[in-house]
Amino acid sequence: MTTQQIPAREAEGNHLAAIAVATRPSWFARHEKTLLPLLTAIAVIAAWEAFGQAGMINPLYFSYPSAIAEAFAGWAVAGMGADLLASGKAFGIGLAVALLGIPLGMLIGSVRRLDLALDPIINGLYSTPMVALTPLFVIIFGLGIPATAAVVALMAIFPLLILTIEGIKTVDASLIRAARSFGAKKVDVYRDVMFPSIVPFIVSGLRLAIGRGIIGVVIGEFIGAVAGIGYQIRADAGVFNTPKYLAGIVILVAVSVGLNVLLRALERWLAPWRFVDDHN
Amino acid sequence: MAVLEVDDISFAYGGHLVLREINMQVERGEFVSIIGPSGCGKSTLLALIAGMRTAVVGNINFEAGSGTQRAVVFQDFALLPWKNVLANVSMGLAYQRRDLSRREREEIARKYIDLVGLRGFEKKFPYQISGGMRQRVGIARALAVEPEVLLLDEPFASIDAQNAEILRKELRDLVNEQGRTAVMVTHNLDEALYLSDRILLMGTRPGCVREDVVVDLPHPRGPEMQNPADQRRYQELRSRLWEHLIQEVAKEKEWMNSDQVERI
Repeated sequence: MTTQQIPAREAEGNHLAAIAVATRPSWFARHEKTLLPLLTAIAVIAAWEAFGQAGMINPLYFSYPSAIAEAFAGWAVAGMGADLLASGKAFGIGLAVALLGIPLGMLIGSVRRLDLALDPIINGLYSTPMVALTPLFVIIFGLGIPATAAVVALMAIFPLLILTIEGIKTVDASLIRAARSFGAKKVDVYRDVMFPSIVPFIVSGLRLAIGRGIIGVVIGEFIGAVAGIGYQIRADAGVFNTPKYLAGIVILVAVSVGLNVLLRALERWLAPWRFVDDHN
Repeated sequence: MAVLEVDDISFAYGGHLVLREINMQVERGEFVSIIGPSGCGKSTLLALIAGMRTAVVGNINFEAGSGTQRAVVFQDFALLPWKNVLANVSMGLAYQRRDLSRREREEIARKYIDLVGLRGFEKKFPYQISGGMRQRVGIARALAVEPEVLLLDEPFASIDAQNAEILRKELRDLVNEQGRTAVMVTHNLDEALYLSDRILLMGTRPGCVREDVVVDLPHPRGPEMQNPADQRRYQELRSRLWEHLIQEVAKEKEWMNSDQVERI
């Protein structure tokens, strides 16, 4: 067999290097993932503000960014701290109770018959509109933080419970077999195989739990509270203070987005192998 | 006495007899492969020897010794994704050698990481290394517990052909140097011929041992063999294994066409 000699041509090489450079994506293309959503958001807010400044928005029905910001600033110096504290407490207590869904889910997920027995009840409760239960909690706990916390807990526990059960059921059986073949005891399997496997499910569960928990705070405070962001939103809506009412919604969105960003970072830190899609 | 004795093992699952009256002996230092058509229960047999499943009838005896009886190398590696190479290799030691300190266990693990050529990768996670390297971790993990019998379940089936060839040779050398006893399940005739002292041919429905073939060839085998007589012998053995597989597959086909299928 003969091998063909390929002559090294300096000029040709330079030419190809230039072509290679030309294939580099433009500055915008390289940053489009950040720029596109950012620019869109700015454009929408600017247009919204322009409509507002032009007097095309009836302040009774709706508001616009600068008016909302003004209401926000006013609220911040008068009472927002107390409202945030009340809502934060209800959310925190409720979510802490909902975390019980994780050990509960681990138990149910690992006992097949328990799972079979409880599945319809769990799914039934998950589908129940918890809003409808809020008055019940007010009857039980009275007006205040406990009633709201109860709504949050009930809203948030189901995604955690269901995803933990799902996670346990989808643990790679070959990993459990491998660990056992190397002498792992039951606790070893739980600590080294089961729990790390379900971390991504727990994080997904937390993401849903946070979203539903925030809904829970608002619903709970609409009916069962005397302070808090949700309470304030309803109070402001009742007196047609639309800018302040929308400022409350801005807070809810900001908290929700902030917590989800935090969670994403937590997941990357806890389960880095999840972010590598290649399997070989 | 044989280091491993499988004594009249039968196994049923889901209402079907999977393995029927299997007998096999493995002598110390022997490399035995198990070959058979898909569904003959060869992986189940390995799982029984590994203690991952329990036989319905029969006994599996290991020569009485102080150390670990067996350790498995898995086809899909079965490494823990959240543990680095060092922790994965130490895994068996962590569960079995609670008498040792963590440092002592890691020292043993490092020795085997060196042996499989992964020095410098101790802190890498499985997702950061290639398939071939992952199986090296799997092999190191199994060897680290210094088992009486090393069990290999199609260990090179999930690795690309080139890496598989390299690893086969390295495994052969490691097993030789350490005087380990090994039982391997495989689909690959050349792999079985390359590594084994003895090959068990399994039949199907229910799974059973049909033939026991002694591979009377010097190492290294395969394309490296220079002696024409060895080359001929290799081809002879290979044809015999192939014939066996063809026959078993034909039987399977016949069975599929028969009315017995309807009864299931």
